[in-house]
Amino acid sequence: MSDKSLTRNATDKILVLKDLVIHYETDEEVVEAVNGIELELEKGKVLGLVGETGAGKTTTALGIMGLLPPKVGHVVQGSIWLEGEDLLRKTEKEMRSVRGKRISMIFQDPMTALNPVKTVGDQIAEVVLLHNHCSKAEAMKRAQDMLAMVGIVPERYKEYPHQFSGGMKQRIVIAIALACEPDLLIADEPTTALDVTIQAQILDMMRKLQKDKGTSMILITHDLGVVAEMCDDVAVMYAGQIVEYGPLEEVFDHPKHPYTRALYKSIPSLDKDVERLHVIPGLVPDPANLPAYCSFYERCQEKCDKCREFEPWAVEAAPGHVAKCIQYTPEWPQDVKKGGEE
Amino acid sequence: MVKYIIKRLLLLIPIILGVSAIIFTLKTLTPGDPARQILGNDATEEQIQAKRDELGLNDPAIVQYFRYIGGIVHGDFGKSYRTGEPVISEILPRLGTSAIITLGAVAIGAFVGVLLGILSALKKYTWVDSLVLVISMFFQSVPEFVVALVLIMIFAVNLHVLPATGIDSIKGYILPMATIGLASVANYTRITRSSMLEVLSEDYIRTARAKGQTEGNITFHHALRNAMIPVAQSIGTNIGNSIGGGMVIETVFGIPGVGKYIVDSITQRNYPSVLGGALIIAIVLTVINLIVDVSFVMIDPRLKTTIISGSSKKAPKKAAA
Amino acid sequence: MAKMHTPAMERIERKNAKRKKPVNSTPAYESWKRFKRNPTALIGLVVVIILILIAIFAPLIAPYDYQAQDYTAMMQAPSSAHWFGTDQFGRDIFSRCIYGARYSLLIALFCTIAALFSGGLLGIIAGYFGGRVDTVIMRIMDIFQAIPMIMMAMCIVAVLGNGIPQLVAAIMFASMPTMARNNRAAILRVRGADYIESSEAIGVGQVQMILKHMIPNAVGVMIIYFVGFLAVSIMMMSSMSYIGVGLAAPTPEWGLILNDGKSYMTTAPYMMLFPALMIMITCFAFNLMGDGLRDAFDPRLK
Repeated sequence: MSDKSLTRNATDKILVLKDLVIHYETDEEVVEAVNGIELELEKGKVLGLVGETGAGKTTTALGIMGLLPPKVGHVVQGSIWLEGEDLLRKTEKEMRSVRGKRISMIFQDPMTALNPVKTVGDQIAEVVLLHNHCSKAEAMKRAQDMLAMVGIVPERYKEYPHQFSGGMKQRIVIAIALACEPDLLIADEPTTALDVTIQAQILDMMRKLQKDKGTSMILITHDLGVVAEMCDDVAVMYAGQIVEYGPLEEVFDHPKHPYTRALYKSIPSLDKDVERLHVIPGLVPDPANLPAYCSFYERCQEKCDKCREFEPWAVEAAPGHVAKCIQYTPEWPQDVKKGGEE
Repeated sequence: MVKYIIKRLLLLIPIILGVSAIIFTLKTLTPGDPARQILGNDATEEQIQAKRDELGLNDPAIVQYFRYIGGIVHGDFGKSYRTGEPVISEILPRLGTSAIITLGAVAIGAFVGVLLGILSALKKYTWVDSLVLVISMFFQSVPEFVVALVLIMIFAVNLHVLPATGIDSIKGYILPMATIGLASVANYTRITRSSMLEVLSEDYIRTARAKGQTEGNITFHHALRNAMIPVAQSIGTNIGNSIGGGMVIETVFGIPGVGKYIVDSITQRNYPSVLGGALIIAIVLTVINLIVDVSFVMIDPRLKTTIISGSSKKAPKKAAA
Repeated sequence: MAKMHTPAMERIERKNAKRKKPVNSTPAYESWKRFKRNPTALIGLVVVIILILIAIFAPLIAPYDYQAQDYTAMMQAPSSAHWFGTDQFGRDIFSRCIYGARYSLLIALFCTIAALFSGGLLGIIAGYFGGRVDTVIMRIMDIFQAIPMIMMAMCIVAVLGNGIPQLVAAIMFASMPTMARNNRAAILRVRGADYIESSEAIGVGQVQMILKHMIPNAVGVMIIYFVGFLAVSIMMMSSMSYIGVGLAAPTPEWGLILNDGKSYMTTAPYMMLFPALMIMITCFAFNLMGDGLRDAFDPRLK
């Protein structure tokens, strides 16, 4: 599982995930949401985490934040390193000082992400007060600055969330996330719930703020266009695994994994006039009942009989470009055991 | 806002007309002659006829009804058969006593109920949760007068710390308030628990966690105020129930409130007092419900815009969901 | 990576291996299965069944006639001859409580059926027809609701006088708004369902629609209200007769038995203890059962 090619020296890395496995356990079933993710993020870089709904993107993000649903969500194995510190070994109290201060998260739906009975200003000031030792007045000043920074007049400090539009609410959510100048920002589909025109504005603003502050960022999305615009690196997720990982241009120009290739084919193109959009046949496998072999097998158009025999492992198909498909393992099948054991 | 309040107050008119119509209909169906009742069995036929004329009982029921309604407009709720005093002047001084007991009961019920509800929600699906629900359901199941009797047994008869009847001292209020309050605990517990559980699963709670906020602050600053909206909405109904319960409990404890007045009037067949009392209670309840609705605005800022602009139809529902 | 095996997965696999294939899975059977798993609801059900048996076999269980006065045995504390003691007329309180079950349960049943056929029916009509019919019915119910339920019941008894039919009528009228509201909500919930719309589309008649499609589907919710209202009517009935409004003296209704003992609270507390216990146990059992039924019929409501 732990392939050398994925983990290099971890000093310039803001975030390193090692063999992370997250399960949701209920009385009825065990959902294998994240299955052995290897990921690293350099300081100041933007990583795009791409995948269909249910691929485990949000679960990964919640795992990093330590916000998995209590009692149900479990990190079964692996480790999460933030600048050389293992977050999983931290106590809840220590994690609270990480959340909002060192790692911030922007959630998908701005309509429900803000507390309806608190003024937006107070909600920004709250995070400032929590992490900076400052007076209420200073926190208020900071909150007003943040409002101005995301393009909202500071005079609206005393207004309530329902008085803002969806795009404005997302700006406020971003203001909350950036108020303490975090080292790492996780944005979970920040523009999915917004109108297309607003999407562009929000993305522009996020990119500008990210560049200005040098914040590292994980951008979770299912929109490859957004990734192309914003990201330095891309990780493609499928059924709780990263099936392809590499620099943006590498992955976009030379996709290695059959799933990534299928994804690109399903993007509508303005240049070519096609009768129907290409779709990937079949459905994502039931995460409560994953196969013991390649989880993309059923939908793969490049499969062969050997794919059914074991789980593929990550292989460096090109420099810095990793894919999880047996196409790139010349030594197969002698090394089956090496990658297949847990 | 003013428009909204006026609109709500106008609803009082059909309520007064309706309630008095119901009781008036029942009254005309009743056997027995109020005139004879007032004058006693020794009265002569002429005396009774004279009394009937004086009370207007010889007119058709519909005339009597409109005469009564006309009186209400001038604040005249009729005269007690027993004392001959205007009903309104007999009830008004008792209103304060009943109000204190009802408000005290609602405060006790809401405080205990909300606390238990929060506890139950935070410890959901544990034995604490089950215990809280069973206990609160027990108090809901037991008629208030039985609780009253048990409390009297314990605190008045055996421990001698609180009086069994009367409100000669402040202490006299404690048992009646506690009795009526305990009966409503279950309601508040149930509503608080379910709305708390719902709120705690909201996205903005996750946002608060992502800020690094402590669980205590999340519960009490972020969740509680949102969870209180349905609880506040239920207070109006609960005040109604508490006033109803107050009738029985005031009688059990011998407290000179409106409730006991109405019960006494019922046993004495003193209809003007019963009708007047019921009407006044209905008016008070309608006004209280209005006050409760208006005070939502204090809790939920989303309602402010909708109520002021007059379109109050969709917003409260959405806020409760 | 290979398939993982965690303790949680093994637990579930064991559970799945143990679980038998579901046999006849009707909604009623599913509800019963959920009800069966709920211990407090089962306790409620058992107590209710025992109470019903007591009510039916009261003459066999009660050692004395409930109104037989025995002046040689007045105000006796509980003993082997008189389990719950005797009252100021020497009547056996145990026998009175046993017969009380008969009266209280029967009157409560009458009240509940009456309430279902008055307020309940109004609610069903309002919910089914909607529009103006709904508005008119519900506005009238709003007016009724302006007076607290028990006050309304007492006012009606005041006018009609004491007695069982009068009491039933009073509780029926007083409960009309609540019953109408609840049943209307139950109907509205099924009314929006797809199968109702499709039956409408194929031209099923209105009466047939209410009887054959909507009531069977709303019946779960209605049973919940039915059981809940049994408790409510016992509570109202006993409260009213305790303060002397509702039933007349010799009836062995629990509230009245309590009223008899009122004057002897300090000297003979047992006179009140046992009827009070009967009321508490009965109402609690009905509520436990009702609560279990609610969870069983509609797990989402929990």
